[in-house]
Amino acid sequence: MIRIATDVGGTFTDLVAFDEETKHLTATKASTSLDITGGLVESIEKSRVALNSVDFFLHGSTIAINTVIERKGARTALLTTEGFEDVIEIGRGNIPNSFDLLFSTPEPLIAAGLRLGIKERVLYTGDIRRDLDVEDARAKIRRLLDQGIQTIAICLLHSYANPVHEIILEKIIRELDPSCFVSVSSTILRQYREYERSSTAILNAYVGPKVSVYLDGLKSYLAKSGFRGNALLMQSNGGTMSLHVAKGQPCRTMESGPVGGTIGASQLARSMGFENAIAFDMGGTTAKVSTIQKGTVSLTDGYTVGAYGHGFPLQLPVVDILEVGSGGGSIAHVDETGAFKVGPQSAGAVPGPACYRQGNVRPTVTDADLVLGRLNPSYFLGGEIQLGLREAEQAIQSSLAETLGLDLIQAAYGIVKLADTHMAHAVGVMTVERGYDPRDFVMVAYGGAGPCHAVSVARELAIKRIVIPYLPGNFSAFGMLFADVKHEYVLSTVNLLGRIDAQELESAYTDLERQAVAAVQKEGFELKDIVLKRALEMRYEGQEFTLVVPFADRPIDERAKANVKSHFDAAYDIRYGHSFPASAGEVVSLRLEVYGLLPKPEMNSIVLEGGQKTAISRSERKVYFEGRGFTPCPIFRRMNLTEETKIEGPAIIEEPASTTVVHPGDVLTVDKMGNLLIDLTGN
Amino acid sequence: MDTITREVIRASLLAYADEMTKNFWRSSYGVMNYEVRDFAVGFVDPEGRIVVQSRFTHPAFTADLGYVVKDAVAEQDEINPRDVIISNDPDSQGQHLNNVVVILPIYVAQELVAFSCVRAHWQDIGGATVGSTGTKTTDIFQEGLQLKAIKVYDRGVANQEVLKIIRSNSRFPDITLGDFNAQIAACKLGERRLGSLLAKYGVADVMTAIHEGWDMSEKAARAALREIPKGEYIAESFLDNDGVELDRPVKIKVHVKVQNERMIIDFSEIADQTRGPINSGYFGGALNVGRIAFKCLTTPRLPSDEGCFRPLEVVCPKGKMLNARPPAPLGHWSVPFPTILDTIFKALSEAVPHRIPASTRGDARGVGVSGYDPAKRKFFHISPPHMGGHGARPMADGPAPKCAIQQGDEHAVPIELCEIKSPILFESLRLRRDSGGAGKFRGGLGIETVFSMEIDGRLRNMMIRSQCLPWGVHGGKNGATNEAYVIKSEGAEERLPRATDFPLPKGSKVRLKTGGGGGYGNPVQRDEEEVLQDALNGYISLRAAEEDYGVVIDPVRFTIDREATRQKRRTMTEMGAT
Repeated sequence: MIRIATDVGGTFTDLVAFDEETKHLTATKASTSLDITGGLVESIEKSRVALNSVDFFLHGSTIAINTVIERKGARTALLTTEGFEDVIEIGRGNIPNSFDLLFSTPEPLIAAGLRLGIKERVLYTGDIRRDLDVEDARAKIRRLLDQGIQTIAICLLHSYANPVHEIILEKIIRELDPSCFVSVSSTILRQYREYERSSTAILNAYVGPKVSVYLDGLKSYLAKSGFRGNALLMQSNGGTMSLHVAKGQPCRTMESGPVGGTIGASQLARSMGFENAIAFDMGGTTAKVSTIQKGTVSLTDGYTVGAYGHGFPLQLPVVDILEVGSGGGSIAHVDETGAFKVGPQSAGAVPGPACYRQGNVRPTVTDADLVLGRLNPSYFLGGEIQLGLREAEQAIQSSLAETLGLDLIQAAYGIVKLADTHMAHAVGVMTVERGYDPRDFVMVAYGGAGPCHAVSVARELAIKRIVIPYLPGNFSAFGMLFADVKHEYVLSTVNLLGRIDAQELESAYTDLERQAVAAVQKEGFELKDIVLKRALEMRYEGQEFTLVVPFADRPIDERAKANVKSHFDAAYDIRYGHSFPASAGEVVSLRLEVYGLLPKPEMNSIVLEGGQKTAISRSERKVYFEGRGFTPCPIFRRMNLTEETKIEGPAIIEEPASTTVVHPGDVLTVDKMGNLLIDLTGN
Repeated sequence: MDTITREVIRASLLAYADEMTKNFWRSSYGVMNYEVRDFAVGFVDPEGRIVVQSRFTHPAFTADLGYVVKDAVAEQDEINPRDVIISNDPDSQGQHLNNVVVILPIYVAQELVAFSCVRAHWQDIGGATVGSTGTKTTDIFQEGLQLKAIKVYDRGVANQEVLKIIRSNSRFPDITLGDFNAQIAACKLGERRLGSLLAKYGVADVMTAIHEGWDMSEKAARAALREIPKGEYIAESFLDNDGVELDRPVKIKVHVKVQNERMIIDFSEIADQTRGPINSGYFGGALNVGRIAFKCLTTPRLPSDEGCFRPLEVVCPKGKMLNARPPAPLGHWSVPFPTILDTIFKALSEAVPHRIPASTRGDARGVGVSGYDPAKRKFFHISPPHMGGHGARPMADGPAPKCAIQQGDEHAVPIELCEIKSPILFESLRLRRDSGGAGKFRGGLGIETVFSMEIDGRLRNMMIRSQCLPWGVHGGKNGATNEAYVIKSEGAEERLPRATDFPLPKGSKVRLKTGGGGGYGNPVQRDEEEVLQDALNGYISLRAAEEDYGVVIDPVRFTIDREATRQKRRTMTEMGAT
């Protein structure tokens, strides 16, 4: 069986292919081209994998999110309850940058003229207060279609409680124009909060046509290449879905790229026997942190597409990823107070760090790594880019060291230390702040710069072990190989747990499950490969914020209700350091996850690319370490390391996409999968 | 000390304060905390100086934690590890009694190093009205229970008697004590985190980093002051009334003196303290609102610490509304802030025209509806969305409707949630056409919302600025004002006064209109196409396009009549010139 995963990022398109028979794991990288499929095709050609022999094709793409950020989506209209046409422009009224007198707000994705009020009204109970005026609605829809509108979002008040009017509107549109792209809020999520739900439906519509064209292009390329396997798209929630489903709900692919890495980390940790893992992904612009608790990827509800305060809320479950402005390209500078800061401004990949010699003269984290001897100027990206040490030194010297009264090395070390501190805080937010002890976690570090900085970040949090996966530069694509098909269902229903009838609860779940199973069966799964997971979103009566707790007992009875309450108490205690077992629990929504299980690649061993089992060749250069200054340090090529390798730091491991720094006293070993394990001393 | 260690320590302090905030916020019980985010979190040194405040602190509490802590410490004979002290002392805090600060001392060995503090808004602390903050109180004793520096935990042991007093003096004891517990938990979290930082770097180094950080913030503020021309700037406005003496406007007059790297905000000519509850004490009022303005003008992006405010002096004699003598009522202490801020900025709008927008709508509140729901056997209390207009910017139109500057990241309650939580039904929530002041850049719009009562209830109208219009600057026109009506029948609407308990029988309909922001620059200079676009978007009426902007638009084809527009604009310019 051959699987192939491709991750189209902003700069690079990464590919990983795994052949289960030969145990060959292949990786390639190509520049992302403007028409997107170009980079994809190049990466596939580079890999020399014949698509007609591939069984699974997994794909992640930034097409949806870029469409929003560049505001190049479809001309979209909105149908909403009459009187509430401006909800999406008014928003929630918050000012994220409190003291900025000249703050601004984003233009709504749909201008006032294309937001039409529909005569109807549903109450929060689901009761209908005012019947839908079908003739008026039909006339309004016809007028939109006559104007050439081909994309319509529908979001009516309280449609989460009763979607009937939304369904009728959808039907009218389909009757009048079957080719129109329709996005219906209640089919995407059934949660209260009209602004966030409208925004979600609109984002889905806005990117819909463009993603459809993209997916059609992908499909025909695959067909032309003789591909007859299963093609799946990565979702923000860590699962995959078929291209067909993705065409209807493209908003679910918004964060598909970075999520692959988290899935990969989860898989890697599991295969190595770790329950808890921190996925640490440091790239050119940002560092991203996510966690796996007890084998489960942590999710969160909703996020903003674009910067907070300037973007649009998307109220869907998404892998909980914290992004901080510390990447290889993050710029070090002296701020208005005279303080030494790193990021969040970045030189990105173009023009890139000063040492790329492409026009940027401000010092970056990568420049500091180079000056400190961690990077090999003639083996960056496998030698594709010759780094300019002199340019890096000059950037640090002139814009930092002189202003701050530091010498070059102190300033370079300061850049690294501050970037590491920010990233350590981010890891702290994802663990300590949520009530978890980072010492119980293994850190999986990847991305171009992750392996270079992982040790100092981990040491800050007393993490004992780091894993640098095989192919850290293609790890997001690698992770996709392990994802299952996944959909989630959310049903808002606010009531005290004690007042909810157990049988009604059971039948509400059963209804959701019936829907869920039918949907996954349509994607080609048999019952035996379908897994359902129930959960309950809860809070204490009187509170607003909620936690989602698993709800496995079935059929639901009074004892099951008591159990889920005590699970909630325990989760609350972990999260906040105290709990109120005597207080009543309130249910906010029913949650259901449905998985279509895909066969996982069997990767108990792989044939390492270029893995010559020859004697370790080594060179040496001076590398700066805290408390020691420049120290003679052995340099290894990763492809020369074998299962028998055991290296005590200091050491540097070089490979084309990344550089691993092993600090003095730490011990590096290699497993049969080619992963590097670093055990931190003193932790 | 070395710049790298210092930045690591400072970044850590801020991260811990932020972590405390999130912990408290997400586990809080009162709507004022979880939705309105009416809290302040930070570390204070033993002398009452702000080490750092969380970035997520409500802007209305800009570095005002120190004084109440200082007072609480002075009141205690001794302070020991694991003590928990609370205070809402109106004299040192200068805010309504709902604002209760929880203070936890942090020790290293035997040395008191700092305090971990969380101020939160308690939903009800007794007094004359539900929620403790009526519009008609005339002394502090009508506003609830005073807790001046009370040790609730002595070396970790709870004083159950005090807890009983609190429980029996709140209409919502569970919410109140739930919030209190969440405050204590967050303070303890801060103690643990700061404790580990102190253990790692030592007290001396952490203190050095803090002090050097203050010096750096101060330096940045001074540098920013150099960008404002020196001089004395004066501006004036007024509020409708104090809630008690309904026909007496309240004068807001400020002097802003910009000197050599120094600013003096002088409230000597602001109204005397009022009979009604819009007063505040010096620290919660004059100093605090002065600091909010100063922060906007100098270091908007820095976290608040003691150093940011060193170049600021705030003058306010005793007996003024921002430095009221006890037992003045303080229930609506922050309600005048939007207008005071607008007025301070107005004073500077000639000095730094490129940095100062036109007036906001000048109000932080709208109406509240409350009552008893017999079907649910529960009291309800809800604030329908009341965001409003902000002033046009020097280079851009005003933004979408927002809360007041001092409310920061506060989120309005969604319509669907309002209807879930209370027996009211909304008919509409719309942008309010023609509410933004005309100008080369248009003021931001207010909103207009209509709702009706499904059962009997009562309305509280908290709006305080309906007569002094949101002013335009540099030739810009005024925005529309804040107003609320009861709709008696089609076409017959009665304007609602500022009131605490206006009866709303079942079926009553209320129309709330929030004000718009003022305009910036002469409207005749606004680009014709933008005027047309505003009309197409429904932001302005065709009449306003013609009368305010001089752009004549064909009502059928929605195109600009160029010739008529040229004439109209010429006439307007000539009339403006004379």
